[in-house]
Amino acid sequence: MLDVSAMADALRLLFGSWSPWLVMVPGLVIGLVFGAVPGLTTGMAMVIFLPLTLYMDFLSAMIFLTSVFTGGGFGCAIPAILVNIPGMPAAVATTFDGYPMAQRGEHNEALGLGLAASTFAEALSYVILMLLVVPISDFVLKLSSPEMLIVGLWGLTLIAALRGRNFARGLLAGVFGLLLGTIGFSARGDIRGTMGIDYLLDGIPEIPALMGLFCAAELFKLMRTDYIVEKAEQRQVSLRRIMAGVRLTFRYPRILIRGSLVGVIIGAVPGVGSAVANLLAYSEALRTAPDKNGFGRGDPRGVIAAESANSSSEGGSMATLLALGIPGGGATAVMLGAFAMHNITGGPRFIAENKPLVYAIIFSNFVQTVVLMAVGLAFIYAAGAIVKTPVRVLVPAIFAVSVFGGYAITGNIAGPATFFVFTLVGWQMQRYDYPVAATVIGLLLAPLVEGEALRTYQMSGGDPAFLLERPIALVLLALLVASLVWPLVARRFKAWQRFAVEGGREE
Amino acid sequence: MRIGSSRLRVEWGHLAFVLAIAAFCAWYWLDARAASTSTQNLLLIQPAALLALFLCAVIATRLVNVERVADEAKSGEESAGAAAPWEALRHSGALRGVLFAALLGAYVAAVLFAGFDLATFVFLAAGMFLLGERRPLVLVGFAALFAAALSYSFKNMLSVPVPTIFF
Repeated sequence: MLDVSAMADALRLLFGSWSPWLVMVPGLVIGLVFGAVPGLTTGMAMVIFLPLTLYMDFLSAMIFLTSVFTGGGFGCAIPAILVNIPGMPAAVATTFDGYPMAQRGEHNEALGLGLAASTFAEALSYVILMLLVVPISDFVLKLSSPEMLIVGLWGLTLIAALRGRNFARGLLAGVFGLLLGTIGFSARGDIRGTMGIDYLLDGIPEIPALMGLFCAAELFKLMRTDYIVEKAEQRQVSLRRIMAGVRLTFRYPRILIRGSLVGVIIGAVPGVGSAVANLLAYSEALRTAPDKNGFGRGDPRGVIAAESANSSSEGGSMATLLALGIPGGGATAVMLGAFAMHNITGGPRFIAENKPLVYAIIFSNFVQTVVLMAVGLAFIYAAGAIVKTPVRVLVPAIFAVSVFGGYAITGNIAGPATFFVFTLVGWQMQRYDYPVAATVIGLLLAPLVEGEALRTYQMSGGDPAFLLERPIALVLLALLVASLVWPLVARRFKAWQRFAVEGGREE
Repeated sequence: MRIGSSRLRVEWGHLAFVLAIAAFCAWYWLDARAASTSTQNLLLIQPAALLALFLCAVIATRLVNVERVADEAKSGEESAGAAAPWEALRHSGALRGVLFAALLGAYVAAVLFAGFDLATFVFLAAGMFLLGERRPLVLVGFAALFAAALSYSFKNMLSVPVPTIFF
């Protein structure tokens, strides 16, 4: 399971020169900034700075890119907690309890929880990667289109199931997002729903749409207040209270470890990524909690579960990238680009031929988690200024940054225009209590779901009995149905229990 | 709306939103069918659109309620309240939202021909004014500094080719 001589070579590679260490802190800071600014993503940071890695050796390039990845994993939690706008889709579930904590004036504790959960989960994910890189690659190879389709649908229905109230609205929001995500060319070249607009041929630009939906959902509501946190004393950034949040994280070891494991497993599945890991870990924490009432109202357990999963998914996606050469998401896709830039071929043989290099990348990530703790703390002070800014200044400023971000992503007016249209949609959704997160997940997963549905149809010839031959698909399908039906059954059961208790009292 | 001793109570805004989603789903379904009726094209879109239309119908029926009118006076008070939707809009803060959305639309429409720097400056100053900022120095100073910093950093540091007038 472990190759000791390769590990010794890895340590020699790492400590043989200063150059691998010099790129770590800049990488973390870039990741934190791009993660924390809504509209900018870790993948975008990596693409922008990818040309710089040409001037580095391959190990330094990988350390730089994984540092950006690591910084972004925590950075996206900062706006999710402070202003209810996830810096990236990976922090959607972080908003569920992180923002209510900030509204209560507990933003310091929430940020401490996020930082500790992120760093711990990241370190744990790389320990797992070190131990299990070979078995993980074997398992992922067994997942084919039917399994991927079910995993995608599971991610899509999670929000509706998670909310507990207005199930139909949650499901409609998800299906609406799914339909929006299929606009553009079909697999066989049919053009659907573009209204003659050329910019839509490749589909709706996802990131500007996501920014619009999330910006609108919160910023239009914020306009009625003076500050995000109304009480002045609650707007202070306090190291003591952040550290209290850090300590609080380790009082929930089960949630922390389970969230980390969910992240590693989901992260290892190509194409699903940290956004689904984040939601799934949150739903697992909610499902298994003995007292569920605090969730959605600022429960620290929700922040721990969500943040541990999105950070640990990095280790999982790195496993798939290193073991199979398949990128799990946008960020690892850029890393695969770095492989090509350095004339290195990814794939199943990569680990066998480059074991010291793989171990060196893993070891450097252990160091990154420690450095992130320090750099992240300093960065929180800078980001904490957000809650001290009056809403009348903050709201137009965020909209302006998002319009710039939208243009940066598409390189033309399609980005800002998409952002504006989805701002209007999100505003109305928030007004009538539809979860914008469900629409975002639908939009992001639509290409995956449609592609896998098509491949499953082709594999099965349209015969549903085909699924009976696939045990993993059946287990995943049972989990999907259970997660959908469980909230309805639980609600009925609770109503029946209340009725029985009240009936008993009357007698 | 009153019919005899019953009153029809409708959440008009919400109903309009659901009908708009339903209209989009129906149009998109028909548009996809017009492109091709092959299974490859409709495998996901057709069931998803039908499910969305079903959900819209379920939600819409819940937004229309029939109530019995027991008290004439109470009914009179409510109709008087409904007679001033403009006032209700103003007090709920929705007017500010509508104006801000219009301002955002104008900003997005203007960035290409007015340049990101100038359009951002005007949007920031107007947006802050709309949300209650009245200090001229903050309105002009912050808007100018922030617009300049954004335009400069995106264009020169991130190499994003945003059209600008001054940078």
